Amino acid sequence: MAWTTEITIKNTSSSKLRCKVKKGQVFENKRIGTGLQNVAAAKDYVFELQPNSTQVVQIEVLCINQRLKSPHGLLNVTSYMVNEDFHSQQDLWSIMNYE
Amino acid sequence: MHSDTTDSKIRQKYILIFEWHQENGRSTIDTIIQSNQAWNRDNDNLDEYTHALNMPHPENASLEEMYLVAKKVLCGILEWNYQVKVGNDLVLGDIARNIIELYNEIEQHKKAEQLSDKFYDIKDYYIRNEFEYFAVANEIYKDVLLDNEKNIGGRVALADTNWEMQKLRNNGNQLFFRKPIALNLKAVPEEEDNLFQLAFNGKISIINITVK
Repeated sequence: MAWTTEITIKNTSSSKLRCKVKKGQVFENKRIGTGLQNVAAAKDYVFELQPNSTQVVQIEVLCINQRLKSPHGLLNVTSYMVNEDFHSQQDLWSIMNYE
Repeated sequence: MHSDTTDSKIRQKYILIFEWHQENGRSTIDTIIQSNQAWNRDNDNLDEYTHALNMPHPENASLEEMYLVAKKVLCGILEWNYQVKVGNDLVLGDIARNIIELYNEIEQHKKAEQLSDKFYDIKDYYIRNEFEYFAVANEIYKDVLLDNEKNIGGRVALADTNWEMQKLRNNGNQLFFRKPIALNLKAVPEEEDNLFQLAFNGKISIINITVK
């Protein structure tokens, strides 16, 4: 099942900005050990951010921690992404469970 | 580098084994034939010995090949000449044992390198519950970004995913703290227009991110 992440972004500059979210971009819970799944972008996205404005963008995400509960609440964008391509929720879980 | 020096030591010792067998292989074959006749055995061991005499030349032999020859000297078909003295009063068996020890050193070094590529730390630690794990994880992963004001991070994803892997693998009393690569994660691209980079570099402010 896919989930939706809603990101409220403020472009503080006076110029238009392009903003990319790569497939596999990981978003995490704000605290360690909530028992909730962290998530990853299900596909690539590109947004235009207008100067000096705030806008809301929506991103479809899949869960990365199969044994944790459904994602919920506030998240952070992380400096990590899934290191392999995936095509479904099950596929993503299989990658994440591989060691 | 450690492995280059060890490689050269192994090769020097292997030369002693190789040259001895090139010079004395024929006489060993005669010994084996006589022994087989005396004990009324077939010549299977003769075929095996003849095959073993075609050992790789020291210039081309890989470390693994030299190791396998040494094993045959110590406890295989080349054991026939185990007690023959060569070089500095060492017997072939001692030389072979030395090669095996040096080879094992290289292998251990390789394993240690592989571990440090994958893990921040491995602790012998009995965890009674997940709260204990998360307290330790928060310390181990303390250098990984977590800035809730700016809504950027990485530490929680590593700690949570590592905990899931820990439970899945059931490593007993050992806690493995994996690096991103061992958790099937990698760094986001350093492109300026990447969402994370824009937020990290202060080009945008992320007001909040919610999932539903």
